[in-house]
Amino acid sequence: MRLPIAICGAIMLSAVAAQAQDFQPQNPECIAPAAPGGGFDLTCRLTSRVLNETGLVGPSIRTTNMPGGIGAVAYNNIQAQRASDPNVIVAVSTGSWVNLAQGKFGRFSESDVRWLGAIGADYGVLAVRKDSRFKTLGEVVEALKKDPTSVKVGAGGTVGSQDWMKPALVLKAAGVDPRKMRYLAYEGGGEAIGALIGGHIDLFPGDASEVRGQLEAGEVRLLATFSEKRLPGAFAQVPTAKEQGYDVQWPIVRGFYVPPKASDASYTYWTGVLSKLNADPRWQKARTEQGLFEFDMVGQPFDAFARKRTADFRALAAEVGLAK
Amino acid sequence: MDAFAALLTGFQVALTPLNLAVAFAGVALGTAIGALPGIGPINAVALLLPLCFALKLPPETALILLAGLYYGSGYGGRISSILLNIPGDPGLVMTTLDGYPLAKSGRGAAALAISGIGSFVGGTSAVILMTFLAVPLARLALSFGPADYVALMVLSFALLGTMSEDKAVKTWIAVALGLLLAMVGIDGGTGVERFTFGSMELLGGIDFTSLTIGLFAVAEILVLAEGMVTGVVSRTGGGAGLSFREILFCVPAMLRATGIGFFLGVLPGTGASVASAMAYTAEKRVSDKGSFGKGDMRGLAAPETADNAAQTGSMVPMLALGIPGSGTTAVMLGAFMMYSITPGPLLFTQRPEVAWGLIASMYIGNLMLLVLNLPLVGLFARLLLVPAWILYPGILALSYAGVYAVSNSAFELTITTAIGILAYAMRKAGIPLIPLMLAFVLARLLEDNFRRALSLSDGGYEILFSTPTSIVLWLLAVLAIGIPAVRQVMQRGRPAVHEA
Amino acid sequence: MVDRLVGLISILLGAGAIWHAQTLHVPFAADPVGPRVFPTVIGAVLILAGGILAARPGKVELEFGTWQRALAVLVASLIYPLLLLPLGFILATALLCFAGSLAFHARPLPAAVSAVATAVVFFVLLDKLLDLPLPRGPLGI
Repeated sequence: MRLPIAICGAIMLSAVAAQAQDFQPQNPECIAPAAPGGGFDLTCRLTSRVLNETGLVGPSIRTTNMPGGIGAVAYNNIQAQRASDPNVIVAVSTGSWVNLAQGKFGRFSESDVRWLGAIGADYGVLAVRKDSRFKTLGEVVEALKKDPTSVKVGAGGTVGSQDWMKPALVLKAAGVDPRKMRYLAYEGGGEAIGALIGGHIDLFPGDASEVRGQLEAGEVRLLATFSEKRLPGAFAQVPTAKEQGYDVQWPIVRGFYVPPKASDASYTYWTGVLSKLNADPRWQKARTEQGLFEFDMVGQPFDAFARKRTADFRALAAEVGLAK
Repeated sequence: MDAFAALLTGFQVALTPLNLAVAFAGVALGTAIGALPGIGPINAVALLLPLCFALKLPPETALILLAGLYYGSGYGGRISSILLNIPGDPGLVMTTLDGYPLAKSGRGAAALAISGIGSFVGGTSAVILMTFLAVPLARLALSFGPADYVALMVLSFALLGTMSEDKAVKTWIAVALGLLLAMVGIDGGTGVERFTFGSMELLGGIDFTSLTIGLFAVAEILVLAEGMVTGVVSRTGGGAGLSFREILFCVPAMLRATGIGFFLGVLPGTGASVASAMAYTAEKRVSDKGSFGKGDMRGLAAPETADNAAQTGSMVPMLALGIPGSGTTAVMLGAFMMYSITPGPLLFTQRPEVAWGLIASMYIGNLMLLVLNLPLVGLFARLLLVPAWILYPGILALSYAGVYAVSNSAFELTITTAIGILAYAMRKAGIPLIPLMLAFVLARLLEDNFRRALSLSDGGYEILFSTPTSIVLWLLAVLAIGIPAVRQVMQRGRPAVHEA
Repeated sequence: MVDRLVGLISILLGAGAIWHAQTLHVPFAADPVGPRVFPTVIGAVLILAGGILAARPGKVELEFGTWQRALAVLVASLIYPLLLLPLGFILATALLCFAGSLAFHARPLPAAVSAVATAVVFFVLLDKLLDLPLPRGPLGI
């Protein structure tokens, strides 16, 4: 009984393998839609390095920086100039989808590229200073309900960015209008953490990897993680928002897309490569070292996920009047 | 904590042959990269980070390399600033003010030497301060709130507004233009697009490096092509021709600039460009008798010293608290994480060999830079022997190549050229460029912090004067405006000192 | 004359800035100040300073040298971004340097030689040594 299935499977696998062998990238390139040193840049450079080291991709992958509008410039460049280039992959994160949903990527939508897959995720957290008056997420929500201006929220993104969206979703879950939130925009998460430790802001909705050092040193406390389950390691003691009755999840997914007209053979090749990468222990180690958690979603499920998330953000943005 | 003992263990790490070689490679490469317009240390650091990993360098070695690149780059850019009046990076604009006149009068090598010495004094003094005071200083910097930043920016504007010899109203037009250019892009507080005119490339605002290159490199080359000004003629034969007395003469300026530069470097958000500008304007306020801007050694030493002190200073919050104080230190923070080292308050206790090895290497690296640079000043000055028809088109091409290589955007090149046209027109009309550039840097800091402050107070203006720090800074701002007025009355008729 | 013109341009720019600030569509007030205040104040400063300059102009002598040479460099700079992708870095940069060299009084042959050399050196420096990818032309160089 099992044998035919196995044979079928083997044939299918070899077919896939043959198809994948049809395509071998030439001068492969990873576009980091940000200046050197940012999250996108690290995603590209680290992934390329491991892909080459493990031999999953033979020719060495070069990283090109194309900063502008959290991915908007790169997105448009791909559409206009390299719509069928099979040798390029572009880094993407949840932040890009947030902006895409608000019409900040120009006339293009989430259906205009082929979403390849994720290689890891960071998770949103809610941090307070070590001696903060807030002990639980519930206390913050109570204070916000009473007077939304009494809690000063500060983070490294603009209003409408993902750092703003995280607390906005908490407020929404608690039935408070997110527009009433007092939000201080900083240049990058580092400055915002500084303001939190310096006692200038009350609440920092940042990312897990950003606050790990301060958490381990006891400079900050975390009230919640915006993850489905508790995060491992230093975060194991921190309850999720869901546990505390507010079903807010915020994975900051890091992954890639390819141009809209990239051939099926190249799409299959790249998804195959990413699947193997996610299963490789060397990548798992490198991923953990850069503060990312496992988020293994490649190919069709990732494509659906990207569209679903963007649609959700679009609804939220429209609700608070942020959409164009 | 015994800083001395810890530093000694740090030297044990830094003095191993591998780490010495890596420190040398870092500072030498940093000097070379700093000399390329448009390509700052951040690109070099981001580039070499994966390489360090591929070579399986131990973490302290990798960080020594990256740090060497970072502060080494502060030495490289001054060559074109001093000799050609073309600063390739924002932190070096003030260097041109007195450096170029010195080069024009045939003292290019001496100017390069004094700026090298200033960089060494700034870098080394900053490392000493960091060795003993890193943690308390970082804490102090974090206590600096939005209201204090607002007062600091007002003080900067007060120094800036009275800096120029030109007609005051023209300075204010330049300042307003700089502020206006800084408004372009997405507004952080509301997510609204300002002055982008639907352009996606402008969402992130005008890039500081493109602005600097357009204002200074492009415009300078246009003016030179016209033949209105003649470039510097090299007269340097042998050594620097710098006397020990001249160095001593600059020491007070260097020490003041170290203080200003280091402090502003430690503050998150304010970087080397603000530091060198503040150091120059403050030094001018303290010691100018009319020779600044015409080739005063102190006017060159101050910004160069402050630039390097600020670069070292910005590493303090990163090492002590795990908070990046600048773009480049943010990249270095990424390097820590790649090596599974959690940067933060525990770094000094958990991984002392990394933290102290890095600090010790900075003493060595600064010394190497001085030794590497001083004998070469005569050689650098020979850059001027290259014929103008090779040199200037080459610099123009290198500037554009640098802008493109970092942005991968042809549009960015057009913006750079457009800013060059603006600067050319301003020079023709007698409107100073430097206030525009400084206003551009300060504008974001001023607006962001002003709005943060009023967010904290729910719109009440009293918060702007609510801390002792802010009150002191406001008083200094009043003095900065008041003293020159008084001095003008006191000084009537006294002849200005001109340096030949 | 020049000062009056600069003053008028400043006034126009200031008015434009204020107008632009007022037309900003702010979805909701996330902070008490908002995005309009700064552009409005800057616009006012420009109008004020421009007004003073236009009303009491100083004497500025407009001096031009052989401005045609500056214009040549400028035109080459403006065309350069358009050629960069179609021609590739080396060819486009060589053209820019060639035009620039001619504007700086070079004779054509030495200018051409130094232009090609400059372009190749920068390509090797940035693309090969610093690993900052630069566009390649139709011939793959």
